[in-house]
Formats: sequence, C-alpha cells, structure tokens
Amino acid sequence: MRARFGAIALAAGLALLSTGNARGDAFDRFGFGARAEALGGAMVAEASGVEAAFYNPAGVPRTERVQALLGYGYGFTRLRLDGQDARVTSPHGTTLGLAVPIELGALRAAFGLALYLPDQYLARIQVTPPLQPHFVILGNEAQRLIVQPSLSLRWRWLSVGAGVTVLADALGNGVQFDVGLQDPGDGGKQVGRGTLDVALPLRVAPVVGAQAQPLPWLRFGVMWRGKLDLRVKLDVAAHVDVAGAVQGDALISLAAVDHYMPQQLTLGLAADLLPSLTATAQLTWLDWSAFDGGIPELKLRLAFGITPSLPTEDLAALRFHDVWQPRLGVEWHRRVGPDIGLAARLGLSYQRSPVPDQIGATSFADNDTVLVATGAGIELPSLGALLARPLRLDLAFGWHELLPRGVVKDPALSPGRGFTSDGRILHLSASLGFTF
Amino acid sequence: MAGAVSARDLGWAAAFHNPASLASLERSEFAIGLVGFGGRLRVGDQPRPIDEPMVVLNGAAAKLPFGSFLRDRVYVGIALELLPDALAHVIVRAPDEAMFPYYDNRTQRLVLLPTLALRLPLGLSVGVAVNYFAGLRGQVLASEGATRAVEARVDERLPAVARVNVGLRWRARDAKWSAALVYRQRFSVPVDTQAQSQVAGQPLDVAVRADALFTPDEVVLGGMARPLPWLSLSVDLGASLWSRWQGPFLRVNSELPIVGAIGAPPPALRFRDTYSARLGLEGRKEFRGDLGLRVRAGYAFESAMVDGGTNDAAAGTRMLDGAKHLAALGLGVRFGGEKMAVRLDGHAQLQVVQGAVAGQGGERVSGGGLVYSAGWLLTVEQ
Repeated sequence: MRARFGAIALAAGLALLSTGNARGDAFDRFGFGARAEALGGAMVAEASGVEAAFYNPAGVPRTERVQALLGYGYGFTRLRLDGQDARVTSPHGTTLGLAVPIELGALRAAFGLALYLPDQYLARIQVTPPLQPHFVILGNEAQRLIVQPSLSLRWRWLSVGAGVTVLADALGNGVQFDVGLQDPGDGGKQVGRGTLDVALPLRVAPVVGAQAQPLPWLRFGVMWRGKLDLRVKLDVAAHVDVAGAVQGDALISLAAVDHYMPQQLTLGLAADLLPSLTATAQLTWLDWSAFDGGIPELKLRLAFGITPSLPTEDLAALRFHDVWQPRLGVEWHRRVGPDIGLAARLGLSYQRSPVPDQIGATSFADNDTVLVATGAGIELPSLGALLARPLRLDLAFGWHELLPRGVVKDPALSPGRGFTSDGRILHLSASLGFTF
Repeated sequence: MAGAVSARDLGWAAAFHNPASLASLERSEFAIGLVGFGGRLRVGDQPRPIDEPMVVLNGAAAKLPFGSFLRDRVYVGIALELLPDALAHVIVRAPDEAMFPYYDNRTQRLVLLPTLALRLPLGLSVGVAVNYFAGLRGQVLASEGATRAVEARVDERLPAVARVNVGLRWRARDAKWSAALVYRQRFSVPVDTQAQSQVAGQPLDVAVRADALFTPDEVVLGGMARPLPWLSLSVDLGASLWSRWQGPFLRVNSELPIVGAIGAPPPALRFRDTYSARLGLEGRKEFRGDLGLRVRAGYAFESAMVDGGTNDAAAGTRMLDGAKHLAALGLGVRFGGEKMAVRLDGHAQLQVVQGAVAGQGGERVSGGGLVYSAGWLLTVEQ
C-alpha cells in the first residue's frame, strides 16, 4: 500500500512542479466522454476500451468486448476583453466512440474510433487581424470535426497502438470571373462568366501510444501526437473589360492557418490505491514554440489604371512558448449489490498560456487557466429484458477559470494600447457507454 | 446487377439503395473495397477524362441486441465512400465550356450514410439513411486598419448538410417475392462566399454562390422474384427529378473600383426529368466445405437529362448528355461457416452514352462515349 501512495505522490509532485497549457481541439479541452472530463482528462494511463480511442490508442485492446460511447457536451463561454464580452462562440457537440477487439491467439488486436461532431459546423475557419485583441486559442478551437481511427495490439501486460487525427485543408484555385459591358453605345449589355475550384484535401497527424500494466494495480501510459493545422488559401481574381472605359484585373489572395495543434508528448500513470479508489496523473509537453502565431498573409492587387496606396503589414513572426501541462484525477467507485456500480470523480489541471506577453504590435489574448472538474457515474448490468448488455451513464461538469491577465504595450514597439483578458468556460457533458 | 437491387436483401449497402433492406441482415458485417472509374467520353475530337477516378468503400452493419418487443427489430449500419486524398473537390466551370453535367464533378466528395432500419410485422420493413456532408459559407473582409495596413478578417464555415434516403420494403414469408419503394432526397453542397475589401477608399467586393455536387430527388419502385432456388431476378424503375436543378454554374456579384457594381448571373437553364429501368439476376451455387459462388448480371437504361436545344439557344451553354445503356457483370465467392464468413465480390460495368450535340452556330460540338468501372469488395460476417 505504501508503494501505491508513493507512486501516485511522485507523479503528482512531478506534475505540480511544472505548468502547462492550451491546445487546439474539443476533446483536449473538454474531454472525450463524461468520465474523462470529470477526471480532468488525465487518461493516458487510465483509458481503456472505447475511452482510449482518443486518449491513448494502446488502451483500446484492454477491453475484451465491443464497446460504444455516445455523449453530448455543452459549454457556456464567458470570455472578456477589457471587461467586455469577447463574443466567443459556445461549444456544443456530440461525441461518438467505438472499440472493437479481435482475439488473435496470445495477442488481442483492436480497432478504435473517436468522433466529435460540433452542432453548428463541421469546421469553422476564423482569422482576425493580429492587431485587434482576440482570444487566439480559445476563440475557435472547439469548432471543428474530430476523426481519430486507430489500431492497436495487446500482449500480456504491454499494449501499443497507433492512429491518425484527420483534418482537411481549404485550398484550391479559388474563384475566377470575367465581367464587363459590351456595346456601351447601345446601353451596354452586361456579360459575365465565373469558375470556381475549391478542394478540401485531407491532412493527418500521427498518434502513437503505449500502455504497460506491470502490477494489477499500476498502469503507465505514454502518447505522442504529431502537429496538425488547417490551412486556408483563397484567391479571387476578377478580369474586367468595360469597352471604352476600363480594363484590368483585381486580385484578392489570402493564405492563413487555423486550428493549430502542436505536437505533444504525454507521460502518465494510474494506480488503484484502494479497492475503491483510483488516482491518475499525467504531464504533457506541448511544442508551441514551433508556432509563429499564424499571422495571415493577405495580398490585394488592383490593375485598373489606378494605383492606390496599399501599405502592407510587416509583423515579425511571433514565437509561442513550449508549455508543460499537468492533469490529476481521482475516482471513487463502489459496488451496490451484485451488479450495480457507482462512481464519483474529481479532476484538476493547471494550463499555462503559451502566448508571450503582447508588448508589440500583435494583440493575442490567452490566459493561464485552472480547471476543476467533477462528475459521477452509474453502471447497470442491463436494462431489464429490453437490453441485456452492460450500460454506463456518466455525467461531468468542468469549470475552466481564466486567470486575469493584463497587457501593457511597449511604446517603442507599438503605438497601440494595452488590454485585459479574463473569463470562464462552464462545460456540462453526459455520456452513455455500451458493452456488447 | 446494374443497380436493380432495391427489393433485395442488402447489408450496409442498403444505406443508398434501400435503407429498409438493412432489416434483412442476418449477421453483423464489415466491408472494405475499391472502385476505379475510367472513360472515353469525348467532346468533338477531344477526350474528357473522369475526375477523381478512384474511391474507397467502407461499410458496417449490425442488429442491435435489444430484447423484449424490440428483439430482432432494430438494425443500424453505416456506408462510407472516401476519396483517396480529399474530403471533397468542388469545380464549377464557365457556362460556355463544353461539358457533360451528368458526369462532371458530381461525385467528388466524401459520402457518409448512417442508417437505421426497423423490421415490422407482416413482412414489412422501413429504413432511413442520412446523407451527411457540409457546405461552405462565409466571408473574407479586408480593409485598412489602424496602421493603414490592410487587415483581413475571415469567417468561413462548413455548416452541416443532411438529407435523407427513405425506404419501405415488403418480403414474402418464404422470401420468394419482395417489393420496395425508395425516395432519395436531393443533395447539393452550397458554396456561398463573400470577399469584401475597402482599399484607398475603393470597394473591391466579390460574392460567389453555387450549388455543387448535385444529386436530384429520386423515386424508385422495385421488385424481386426467386423462381428457382438458385436464381433470383430483380427490376427497378426510377425517376430522377432533374427539372428542379438550376444548373452547375456560378453566380457572381461584384463591386469593383471605377467599374462599380457588375454581376455574372448564371444562365437560366432547363433540365429534363429522367427515367430509368434496371434489370438484374443472380445465380448461386453452394459447394461442400462452406464455399459458395454467386454470378450476377444486369442491364439498365436511363434517359438524357439535358434539354440541349433550349439551353443552348437561350443561355449559350454547351452541355452534352445522351441516353445511357449500362451492362454489368459480377462474381462473388463466400467462405466460412456459422461463426464467421468472408465474402469477396468483384464487378465490372460498361456505360454507353449515346451521342449528343450542343451549342449554336460555330460553337456547336458533338459528344458521347463510354464510361466504365470495376471494383472489388471484401466483407467479413460474424
């Protein structure tokens, strides 16, 4: 027993010595399933079966039977800039998961799938002028579809898995159109023809993980996820020909990056400290220093015989900081009668902002965040004669408090004024787990 | 079987052909396959290749393990058609470009069809599949900011688009006869984007709108008979309501420096509803050692959807389409027994597009040709 508490104390101490922060999708922020949300997302060593389809593909074959998960989450976003509502969209969407194990002699293989379907859009691409204060990470992170399939193998106490997170860019040759007026002496006949070419090519980020269970009560996990972003390229070209009046071209060209998710490495452990108590902890390194702020590139060209002044923005690339993100979770679980199980959970995380102080021209808002989550679950052996399969219902509530942050500009770098940012996100989720 | 399958027993593929047929599923199944397309369509002397000539098929279906009054009544499935390298590719051509609108950029997208089917008393079943994808809507705003530099604001959204395929099926108790009625709701990917810029006091605004990757409303009536234990015949009669389509072209409105407001509205077009007849047959032979063989053949005819003369004269388009004849052959092998079985099915199709003429005067072109496809599908039943 002393060894058990020693192991979890070591992990918790390691986690609390560092700080950490933000990244870019709904599952990272709010959890994949209500149980995971209530445990603060500290799941890299704890997740098994369908929950592992997102948190660590190596954990999927820890179930012997097919599992499915159906969940829904709703967030109330109250983020503020200079004390005013920052008008950040509240995230809400459906979570789906599947784990299918296949016995292969001494090995067990498994297929896992994690899906998030936002209610409003499959994806939303937002680009805001970098000089205007706005939440650069929280502003749009949950507004995209998540698809993560994986394959994994388990042999005795060791399992490994790999998968991909799928996203699509928005590229193509854009819009081209020719417009003009013919026969101006005859009142002018308007003519026009337009073409469009937009493609959504697939991008994938690899996910690789391993889990080990050297003792029945102790589990270790490690997971690496590659970097992913959504690139946008939109060109609109107009070729104008008004006979006798004006001829020329106009071009709008925009290239930007959204939904950036840095590569990350997570180490974690989970321990059954008592028959009715499980604790889990993990530490994630997020490679935000590879991100330059995603300042969009915009080009405008007018060639109508006029030459308007078109100053262009010259913003130096802005490097974010790497961050370390700790997560802790505790679950108390107890059997009531022969088959019914109850659980209560608590999760904590401190998420440090990767955004450097905005003393220059850019005004990216982002805050250190404290997450406190709690939840409960009930496990039933069946729904009577209607469904003779185990069923689990979990509920969770997460409070994400953004610690106030003030920005003071350096007059030598920027004539702009500083700003403050703070706020909170309250998130509720419920999920149903099925075992077949 | 040239698509003459709406009244037949289907697994995950019921999502498209008839969602109600999913209720005849006997075992859970998972399938993966590949289909390749090719063509010898020509416009005048010029070949017109098929875009995105390969798709990956995935499907799964299972009976939900309910008891009581829902026992053996509820079935779910999913069908996926994936492009190898993209979720979608939307291409809108200029109206005066010679093209085959029936084949041009109508299938270049991910197709996702989750399905639910219920088995009712008296041999009846009903089913619904949701045809799920996204459109592209939003705006790009560019104007001079506080430093007089041009700043961009982008808000582009991919809102979910969902339409339904609905089916009803009756099957005789001895499974020798069945009949089906299917409705597939029209589907398109709306593209609606505005680019608004204000530079040196000059407006530079462009708004574009199109309905891409269009599929019309369709109604299918089908039947199946099994006159011999080893032979089954099926027929599908279908109508596709192309007349409700406004065409594959782009609407552009612009506000440009000096020029002012100018638009490029798409031409007003008329299309014909099309009618199709499909015939299919399947022969089956069971061998010792849990081995089964299936041989399939089919023929289909579909009328043309382009009202060439009307559109070409009024709108200056050059759209080509002719009546289509389709012949198909297939072979399937099934191994396995009670616990697990594996099926491997292959098929080949040849579609002949009758010659057609489009355009006016010196812009007149002729076109037609062949479209062919072949593919395989591996299915695991458990």
